[in-house]
Amino acid sequence: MGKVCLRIQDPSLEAYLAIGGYQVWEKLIKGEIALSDALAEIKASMLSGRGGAGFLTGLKWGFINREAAGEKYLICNSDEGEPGTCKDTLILRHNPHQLIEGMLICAYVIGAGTCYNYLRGEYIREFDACEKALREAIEKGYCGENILGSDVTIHIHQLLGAGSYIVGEETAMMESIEGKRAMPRNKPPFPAQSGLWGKATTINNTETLASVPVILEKGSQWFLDLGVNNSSGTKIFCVSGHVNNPSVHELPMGTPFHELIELCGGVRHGRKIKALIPGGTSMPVIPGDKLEGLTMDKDGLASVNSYIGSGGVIVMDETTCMVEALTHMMRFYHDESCGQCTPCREGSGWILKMLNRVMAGEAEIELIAQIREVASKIEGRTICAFGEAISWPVTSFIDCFYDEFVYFAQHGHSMIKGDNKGFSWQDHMDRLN
Amino acid sequence: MSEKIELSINGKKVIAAKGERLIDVAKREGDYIPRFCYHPKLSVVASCRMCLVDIEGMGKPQPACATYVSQDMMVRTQSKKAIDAQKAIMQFLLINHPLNCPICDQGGECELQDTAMGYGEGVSEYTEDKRTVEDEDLGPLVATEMSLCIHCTRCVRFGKEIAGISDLGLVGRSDSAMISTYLNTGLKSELSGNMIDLCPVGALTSKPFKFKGRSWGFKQHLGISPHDCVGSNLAYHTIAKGYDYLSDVIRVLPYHQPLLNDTWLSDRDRFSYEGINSDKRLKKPLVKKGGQFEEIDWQDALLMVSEKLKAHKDAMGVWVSSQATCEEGYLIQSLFSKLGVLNIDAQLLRNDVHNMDLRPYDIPPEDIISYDTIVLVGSNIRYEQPMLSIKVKQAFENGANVHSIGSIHHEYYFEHTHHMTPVQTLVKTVYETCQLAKEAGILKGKVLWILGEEAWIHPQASLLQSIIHNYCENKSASYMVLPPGANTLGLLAAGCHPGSAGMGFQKMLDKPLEMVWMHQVDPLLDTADPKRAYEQAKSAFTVSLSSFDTEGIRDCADLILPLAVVAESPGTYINYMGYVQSFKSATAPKHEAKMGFSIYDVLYQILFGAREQKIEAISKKVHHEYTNKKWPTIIENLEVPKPIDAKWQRLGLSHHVRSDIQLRHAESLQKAYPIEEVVYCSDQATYDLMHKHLPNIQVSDKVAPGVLFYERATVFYGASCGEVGLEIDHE
Repeated sequence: MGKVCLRIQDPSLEAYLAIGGYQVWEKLIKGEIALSDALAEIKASMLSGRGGAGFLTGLKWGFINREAAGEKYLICNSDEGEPGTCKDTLILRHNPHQLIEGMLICAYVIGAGTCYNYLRGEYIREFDACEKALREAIEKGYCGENILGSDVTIHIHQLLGAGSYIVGEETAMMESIEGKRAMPRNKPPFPAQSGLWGKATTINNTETLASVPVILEKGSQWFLDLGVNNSSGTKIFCVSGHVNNPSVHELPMGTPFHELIELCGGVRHGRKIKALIPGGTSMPVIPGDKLEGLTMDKDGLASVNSYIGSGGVIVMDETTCMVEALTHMMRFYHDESCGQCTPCREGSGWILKMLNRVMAGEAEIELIAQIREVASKIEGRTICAFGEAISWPVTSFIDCFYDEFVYFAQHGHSMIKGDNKGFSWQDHMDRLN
Repeated sequence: MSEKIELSINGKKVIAAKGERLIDVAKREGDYIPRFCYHPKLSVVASCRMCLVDIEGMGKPQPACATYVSQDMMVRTQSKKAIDAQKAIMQFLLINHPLNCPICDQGGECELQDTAMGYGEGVSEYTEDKRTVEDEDLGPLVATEMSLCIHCTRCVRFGKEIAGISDLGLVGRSDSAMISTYLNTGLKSELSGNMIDLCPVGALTSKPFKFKGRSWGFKQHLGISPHDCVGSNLAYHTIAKGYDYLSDVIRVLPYHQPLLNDTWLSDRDRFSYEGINSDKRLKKPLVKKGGQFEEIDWQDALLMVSEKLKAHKDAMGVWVSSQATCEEGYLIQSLFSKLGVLNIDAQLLRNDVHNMDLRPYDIPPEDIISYDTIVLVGSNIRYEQPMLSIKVKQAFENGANVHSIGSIHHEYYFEHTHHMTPVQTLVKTVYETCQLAKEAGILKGKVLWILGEEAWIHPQASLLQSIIHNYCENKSASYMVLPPGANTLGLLAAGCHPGSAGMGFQKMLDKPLEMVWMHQVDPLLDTADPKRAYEQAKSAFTVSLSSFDTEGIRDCADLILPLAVVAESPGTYINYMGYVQSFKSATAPKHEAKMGFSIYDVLYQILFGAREQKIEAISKKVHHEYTNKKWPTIIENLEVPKPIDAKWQRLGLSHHVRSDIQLRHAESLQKAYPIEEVVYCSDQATYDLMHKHLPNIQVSDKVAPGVLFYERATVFYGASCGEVGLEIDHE
């Protein structure tokens, strides 16, 4: 049981009211908490975005001038698509009221009258759970028109995506809500200036918004004290891969990595960890020998050249072939590139073709350097952060496990698995076809 | 002028206006930034990433197309960061691009080729398989080679933003993304040719022009569009055939004219050149002897003409196509008036016996955007005036209300309110609308009336004009009449009209004429009353000056003289707003065809002796007369319009790709818009009555009661449908 987003695991309104839910919202509506204080509290809490980029939430909210003319929008990004991540689903299914309260508070602070909760296409159960909670909230007068007898009106709409990964990018999500194909927009203008329907828009991750009511209830100092320096509060870590008990845990920031692994029952068969991806596959990989004393927070991960990302922790033990792992990941990125801008459209395919060649044992050693070079050519030149999402894994995998890649290219088979390639994705696909 | 700001590009101080794009400022200052997806007339997507530049204070390189200049911005287009980015993008663009420039139609005028020379590496690092994409058939005008596509989406954006079609889109993701119509529907737009120009690679090329030549082998000649009254500027490209003076027009491209057509060109202007090279061109003068045509020398032909002219000058009529140039008009007028022939008319598509007081309407295309209400009266503006239609769409996007009044509900690509009005009551409805608008102010803001071809051919056209003129005077609104043909206004200015003493076209048909003179006219297709015009021409001795050998002309003419087409002759056109544009010939006349003005000049010499006049002198004279012309004030006609008597009558004009003789011989255009055999009527009763005569009749809500809409150019209306007979089937 967590302390912030997963503090209860009961989607009913009674359960949420029993732990003091919607009290902050009532106080805010009745003016017992001033809007400026609420914003100041969020800023003071140093709450940072939980979707991957880690932008300071209070700062983001502050970009929107509440008093400025024109419609404003809030979008809750529940399109949880980052491979290895499954945290928002728990919030949406088990604690939807806290999310709704967080959305209402944010909408009120930035002056938005309409919120959209955009869920990924597969989240049908989550959609239903949220929809039920939303109906309850509207019935009780927490949401909708004339909230709690005041003149405040905030509508929340829920949307289901159509299954693309890129729609999780903020501007692509706006395009999708507008009824177009989910393709990221060029920035600037940023959403706070011109977002959904060209209006000022704030977009936050589900976990971020669900943290808001707790921060305002217990105070920013409590939230700061939960975490460590530079990383406040808690984070939901979704541990997958070669652990005995893959599971999701909401832990304070700064939790040592070995504690997280212990919570998951340790590495399977007591093996050593070969590599760790700390925040979804888009984040740079950390080699196993750097895990000693690693803490799961911004500074801790920065010391090993990685980021906390979305909290999707992927553990790989020593039986993992890194070439195969990277190829598998690149297959995903190649599939999900939206095809709009040149480096990503062409580069993702090129990298995959080269990796497939390595996997087939048809590559020269020079190809490894070329793969890395192509990946670095994508970085920083695309419309959205997808370019980095392709580039970082490739460059970090090759940098950290260069020998393994070279071995594969030289010998035509894996250093780890030898001639026996084990499960081959290509064979699997061939069989399916 | 907006606020000035100062920035530096590559260390050079540059002054720019606030709100300008960096890519434009840099180009103006001589620091060209390579680009593919950016086009100044289209929205910015910044998706090709070719224009990445290094801006001080920004971590990543920024796309210059999506960056607005700001005070003290420091830009480097040649720094390592910028050059690395450009080289990387160039490489990504080329890896899946087939490097088949030698056999690609775009070779030599390809933006990708040029940019790769300037910004790419000489050696390819790519050793994987290249992507191939299946081609799609977009119709007879646009050829595709989709493996060459670099996904800049210019064509998609042009379709959505300018041409108002969403036929093309980007489907698929990642490197399997492709430009496609998705449903394989082909491309249906009267502006589709512009996508060929916009395409920076050889993915979309011109089908009629495919593999006909290389751009460096062409000579460019400026010309003016001969098919509509906007006067779009275009460039004829000719390829030499052995000798310099023997050349073929190989293609037509738009020529940038910010006042009129901007950088666009309609498909009929672009592809009509095929008519010039048609094998149906008339090769030698023909004379009818015993029901058969025989070839004859020019000299004999002209002598014969002069004899006939002398003999029949008292009872003859001159019918001139509205495509004729001002010079031809002037010479026709001077020749025939000297002979004493006053029955000259260049407005053959008029049913009204009164003259519509045509005059220049000083509303440039760009100004249309500023109107709040636009009323289209009997206008299928999308096809009649494609260049103006773009502007009406922009006006609509700026918030204008668009109304249309007429007996046919045309397909526009902007939202509008259509007021279905039977032909009989069209003018009455407009009158009532004006009354209502005067009293209740139903037309808001700045109002513009546009009178199209259905208004032009309407039997009460002049009354209609005076009603709208009146309204506009009272309410300080504007209107314009858009006549068919390229030079109706110019011919009027050149004196090519019956005046007060002569007979207009409609009146000529009532009188038996001994001789008919036709200048580029097919009486069955180019006149308001095809049946009577045909009979008139058949019974009289008819001299036809025509560029093409058609059945219709052979049927009714006695002497046919081969005439040069517009591209083969110098001349002057005056567009709807009175903009005078002269042009030179792009190529020599085909076969034994002669330019119109030289035929008339020689005839003049034979009849009245030599005179010294060169074409330049005539042009000057016409221009001078035009600028000094006093347009008569429009007589106020306060008559309350009554519904007109119904009779079978042609009330519509030809389809836009069949509106003149040259277009009818442009093969690809004809293939792109085949003749639709369906006849549309409004109700079941008409259907039942007409079905036995017209098996292809269909009931449609797109036509008003009493109207039969027939693709082959014609709208008819009648009181009792039983009397139809076979009048419709002229051909």
